[in-house]
Amino acid sequence: MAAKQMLREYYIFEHLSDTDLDSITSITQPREYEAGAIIFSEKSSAGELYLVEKGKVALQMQLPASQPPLSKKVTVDVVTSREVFGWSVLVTPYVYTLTAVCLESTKVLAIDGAKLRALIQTNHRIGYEVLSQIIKVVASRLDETRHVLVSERLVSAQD
Amino acid sequence: MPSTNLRAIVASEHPHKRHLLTDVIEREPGVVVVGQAGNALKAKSLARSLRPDVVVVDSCLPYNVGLDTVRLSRISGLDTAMDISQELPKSIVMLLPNTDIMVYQENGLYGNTKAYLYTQTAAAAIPIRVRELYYGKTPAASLVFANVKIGEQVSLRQRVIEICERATLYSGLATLGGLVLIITFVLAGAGAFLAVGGFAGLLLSLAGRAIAAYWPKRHNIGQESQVSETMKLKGAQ
Repeated sequence: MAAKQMLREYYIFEHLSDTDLDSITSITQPREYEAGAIIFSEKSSAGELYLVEKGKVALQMQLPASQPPLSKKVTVDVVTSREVFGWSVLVTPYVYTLTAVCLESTKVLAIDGAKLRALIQTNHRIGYEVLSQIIKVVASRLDETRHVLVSERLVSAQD
Repeated sequence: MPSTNLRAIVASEHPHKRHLLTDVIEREPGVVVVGQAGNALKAKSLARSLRPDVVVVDSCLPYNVGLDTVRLSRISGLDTAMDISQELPKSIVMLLPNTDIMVYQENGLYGNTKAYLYTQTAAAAIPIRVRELYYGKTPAASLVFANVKIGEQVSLRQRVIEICERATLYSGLATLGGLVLIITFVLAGAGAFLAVGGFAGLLLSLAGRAIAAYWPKRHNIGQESQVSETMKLKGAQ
């Protein structure tokens, strides 16, 4: 019951039934990481979807080596509690596009990616809810990224 | 340990957070904040020009300008810390992920409230002594994930630990002294009294220290002042 209630607090699962949540719970493992730990690296095989229970995780992108004035990695997002990351497990070719680094001691729930994909294929209700919520997150982050891009372009233009 | 002051810079978007961090850092003798930055660009520029020994960076740092409703405009702290760590390999760079101190500031508790820097490990929260961190046996370039804690509960626990440590030392000395006196036969009685008393004090102080060490983590700091630094980012890669 406690595990189900915990999952229901995450927006991607909030509309699922108890039975559906049981299915998700059975493929979920809690994990803990210390500050500075890398949860997964960019271009590694996407094995798990992560829900942040407590802590902060920075998502970084590797820059090409030909951009020396900038840092080799750039943080493109920071996820905190009740947020989700690692949704490359649901998108082919199932390879993480970013590196996930813990900014502080972090507790996550890790959902097995292969089993989640299998579950989504057999249970379309879960599939619809999960994917529609993830699309909202993607849209929101895309919107924010646009704002940041425009803002920094404006500042650069004024210099 | 060298007697020259360590020079530090702090980087945070909010002026009151910079003031708090400055106060926390300068509370340690021999550490001076020589510059403050409100964004990543300024922080890197200050680091290049001032070449500080210690850099403290808020993870919620805008690259240039923070946009009110756009969370993604304030995520440059980690990048700033990593860049400075690479450009100044002899400096210690501390990244602060928490925003609890913002809450304390808004609640008006900042005024006389003690605050301190600490690193969080799986076992405990270990207070940071900046000079120990800088001169310690760590890799020259290190990125430390730190936090700031505010609260009087910490000082009580720290006091208990300090008292127990002193009691352990004096009790041990008393026990040894008593044993020596017993051997002389001349003051065997006094020696026995001293040895038994010292031994009892030793047991009590060790018990007190053990109890203080296992007080709830969220209110308290770790057993030692030894700092553990991490560069897990480099290690994992």
